[in-house]
Amino acid sequence: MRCTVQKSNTRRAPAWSALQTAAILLLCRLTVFFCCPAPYTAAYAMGMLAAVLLQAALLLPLAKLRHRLQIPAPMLWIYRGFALFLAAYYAASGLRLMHMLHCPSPHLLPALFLLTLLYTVSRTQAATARTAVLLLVITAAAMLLLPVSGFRAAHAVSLYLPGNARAAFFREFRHSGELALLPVLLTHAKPQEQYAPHALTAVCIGRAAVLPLTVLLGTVQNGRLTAWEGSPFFLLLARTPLSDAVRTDGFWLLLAAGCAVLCVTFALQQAIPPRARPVRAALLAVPACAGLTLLLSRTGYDGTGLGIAALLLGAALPYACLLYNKIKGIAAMPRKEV
Amino acid sequence: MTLCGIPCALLTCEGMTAAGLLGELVFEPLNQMQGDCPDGHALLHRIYDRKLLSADSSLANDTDTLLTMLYSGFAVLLSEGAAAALCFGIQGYPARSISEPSGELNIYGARDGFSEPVRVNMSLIRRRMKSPLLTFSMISAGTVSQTDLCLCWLRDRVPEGLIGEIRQKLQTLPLETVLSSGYVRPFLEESDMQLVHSIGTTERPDILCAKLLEGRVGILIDGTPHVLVIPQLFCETFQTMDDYNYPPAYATLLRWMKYGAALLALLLPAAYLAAALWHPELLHETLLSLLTEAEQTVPFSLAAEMLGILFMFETVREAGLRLPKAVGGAVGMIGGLLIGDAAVKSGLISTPVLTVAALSVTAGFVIPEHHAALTVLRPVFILAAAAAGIPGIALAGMLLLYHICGTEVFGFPVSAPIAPLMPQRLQDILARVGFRRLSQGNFRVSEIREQSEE
Repeated sequence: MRCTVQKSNTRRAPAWSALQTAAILLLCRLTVFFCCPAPYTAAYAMGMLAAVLLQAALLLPLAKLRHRLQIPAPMLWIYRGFALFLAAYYAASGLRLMHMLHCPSPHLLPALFLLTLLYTVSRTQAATARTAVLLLVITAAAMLLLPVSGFRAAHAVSLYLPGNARAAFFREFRHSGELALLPVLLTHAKPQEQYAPHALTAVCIGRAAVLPLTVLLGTVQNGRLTAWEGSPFFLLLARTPLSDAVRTDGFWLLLAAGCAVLCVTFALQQAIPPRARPVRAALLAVPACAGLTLLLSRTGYDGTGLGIAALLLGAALPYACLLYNKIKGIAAMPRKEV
Repeated sequence: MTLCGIPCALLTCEGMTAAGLLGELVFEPLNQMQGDCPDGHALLHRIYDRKLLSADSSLANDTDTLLTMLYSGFAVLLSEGAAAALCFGIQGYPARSISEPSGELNIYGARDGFSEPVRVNMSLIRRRMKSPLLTFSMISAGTVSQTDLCLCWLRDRVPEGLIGEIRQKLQTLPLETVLSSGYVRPFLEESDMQLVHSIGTTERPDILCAKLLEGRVGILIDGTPHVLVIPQLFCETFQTMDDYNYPPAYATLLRWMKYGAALLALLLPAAYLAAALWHPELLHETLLSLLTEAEQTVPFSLAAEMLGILFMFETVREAGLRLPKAVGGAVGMIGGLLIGDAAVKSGLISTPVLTVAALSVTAGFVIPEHHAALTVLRPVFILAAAAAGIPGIALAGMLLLYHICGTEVFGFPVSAPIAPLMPQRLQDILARVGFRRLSQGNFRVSEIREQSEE
């Protein structure tokens, strides 16, 4: 597959490394994972793994991208709309989690969330990419703590609790909307020959390893929610009686809120045209996202169809771009091949 | 005076020249001059070309240069009929002697620190780095003060174009005077609102030499012992010279202790407030009952109590800092012990809150580089926690992360080498590996710029 750079959509966009791309996509999925209630069973982890493997197979053709992808302007606008919708979906999910956990100040928190977004969206995309890597490093370190913190009260028998693998399989597809943004990320990737394979490999392996493993560890850990009272010396790792999942620990709550901010920021920055002035664009995009979030919250939208459509769109986009360019007779811009 | 039959005048600025040098290097050789000269111009050139008066001599061809030289401590020789003046470098103004820097103490490192005269500081660097690649370049800044700034770097390891970019910014400084490093730093950084500095300062020549070896650029400013270092990465603020003198295992432990102290200093009051106000289920029952009991008699809200204690602490600290040393110590004692004890006994503040605030502030002293940022951020986190509990802390934390990750200087992101991730460079961040391994792949800051520019 041969693609070239289109100036209009790459002028101010930063060059994302494979790791940054993988980090942001993984954190987007983890955000939805943290925010939507999920039963912690081994069967659920199995269903999740199957879905992730199928998604990897569907995305595999993108690995053939050896050059930057040229996305036609009309398609870019469709993607910007999709990114705005995705941002609202993440925001609604984050606020729903706060509501579920009976977090304080239900009216003040959304206002603070909006103010935070105004600042983060007005920063550069490079800042988002770097923050994603930093947050992924913190998440990975926290993941390492999971088995340690649950060691005393690990209940392996909970792995055999009944669960619905099929439901998990479809739920995974429903919650994978971020994959649609993968081709767009590839448009402003680093001009390295191995970028696309590296990014895709990191995304696929990361998803396959992190998600089911988190569910499994959470399942094993569930015992401590009833058996262990928590230590005051590990304040943020102690239990809360408000929910029955590991994410209700103070640290996971902290991480979930942080990831939500990052993902909404990322999606909104994708929705903003690269040439727009950052502060002005943030002042437009954030209220638009807030309105859409309010709408999604009112209707109780759970993401049905979003993920599947996004995945198909994401996998088909490069081919659609080539076809569109061929039909319209858009010549590939001359570019030094890498 | 008359030299070779031509009337001359020797100008000096009182208190700026060394009287001994003036007699030895100027008057004596001039008095020994014999013969006639056709005019003043020939006389000056005769002295300039043939007489070794001082190592640092030059001709001033206009009044501005002449005055600058005169006010810099040069002796200026004027001769009847000459359009130029001859300047001799015999500066001898009083200066503080070289001493150990009070802000960057260490146990095993060198005891000398930078002083105020820029040329003394240049010699301190040159003494440690006898490489011909070490380059000094002087620039004047300040439209009125004409302060000497000196750029120093190692020619073979500074990214291409960086010196030009720095020099251009320094030459266009819109300042009348440059009295300290704080005057220059904001014009080199990207924003005035930076909480995390992307340009570091040091008073230690050994640290500056280590930074120069990594391809950084130093800016020495005449009149201040603080040397600017470009760029400074966020992770470096947790490193000290002593880390490289201790055994690696101990240094690694110290480093992690500093990371922990930074988190404590920033988050402990906010986490305490969030847990006590909004998430009591996070606390152990015994601790919870202790807190409840302690807070029952306090007339203020928890947030007001915490902010009040931190405000009082900063007040006492500032008072102790500005007063003479003998009195300052006493103020610290009175503020810390007497007022704190009296406030707890009278029931104005509770012991747990005082303990948390004291722990947080003490932890902050481990990383003095971030004292200003911590003082500003602590109340922000406390208010966020008081308003929205743990999610509030998360939001404030994300603001801070974005701020750090978005900060760059001359193309160097300060969050490197974690973001962008450079795994091979984490060996001096996550741990302090031994010198054998450290010396295998010498770190250059240009790698960071290259990676973020690709």
